[in-house]
Amino acid sequence: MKPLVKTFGQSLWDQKNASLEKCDLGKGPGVVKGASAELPRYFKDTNKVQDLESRIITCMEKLQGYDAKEIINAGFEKGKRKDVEAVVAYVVTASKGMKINVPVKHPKEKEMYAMGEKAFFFQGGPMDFSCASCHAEDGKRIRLQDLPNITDQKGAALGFGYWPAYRVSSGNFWTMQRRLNDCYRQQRFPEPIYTSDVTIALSVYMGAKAKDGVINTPGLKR
Amino acid sequence: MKKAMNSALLVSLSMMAGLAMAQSATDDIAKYREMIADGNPAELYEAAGEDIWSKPMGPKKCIA
Repeated sequence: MKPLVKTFGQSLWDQKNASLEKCDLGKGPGVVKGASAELPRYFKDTNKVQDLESRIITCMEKLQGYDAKEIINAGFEKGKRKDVEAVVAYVVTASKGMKINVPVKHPKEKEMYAMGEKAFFFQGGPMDFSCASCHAEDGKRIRLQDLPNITDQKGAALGFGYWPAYRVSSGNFWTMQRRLNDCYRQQRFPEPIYTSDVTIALSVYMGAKAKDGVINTPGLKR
Repeated sequence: MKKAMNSALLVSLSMMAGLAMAQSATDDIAKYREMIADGNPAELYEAAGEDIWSKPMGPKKCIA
């Protein structure tokens, strides 16, 4: 049993150090460099496959005491979610130039890949669209934007390797979650819940398809 | 003289338009991206994020 004083001291130390610097993004506590190149991935402590954003929220909850639900229910750029987005910008910059290496080894990672693939081809909504309607063929575009063919390594790397990005037309920084949210909006699907399994599964699918592509984050988009 | 200059200007303008048409709009977007690539405003978010990463905060932070 720990002496009471030691326990108290430890908790004071933890309180004084309630920063994200001990956050484990998959490569050990506090390691930022290269972390986003290997996300999403399975985490033992949560027994979940997590993407960068859901993992940052876990750290904010466990290390700092923030309410995860509040962040999930807030809109983009609202409340504590805004801090998550800024931390995303910081973390993804530290993987710039590295190779995409999203793992599909753990059974839960394999499960998420399969779910992501299913979600990608799932057709529905008022316009009878799927992700694949726009992103499964070469040479498609929306207005002047070339659309990457995500079913192929090169195209997947073009999509996955350039998000998160600063979006010039809206004048703000968009995380991968926000990008996926907007894909669903354009398909007129119901809005996905922030960091829900389907959004993470889509990232696993895209990331695995994009294997060995180069990370150019944060990207710069129209 | 003025007329000749005007028509010369017109010819060169239409040539420029022809050149622009030959390129696809995506080439122009790529050029535009290259032009502003040095100053990606995402850097501002990155700097803010680094600060948030290292600063103790939240309900678990000791006030004393």
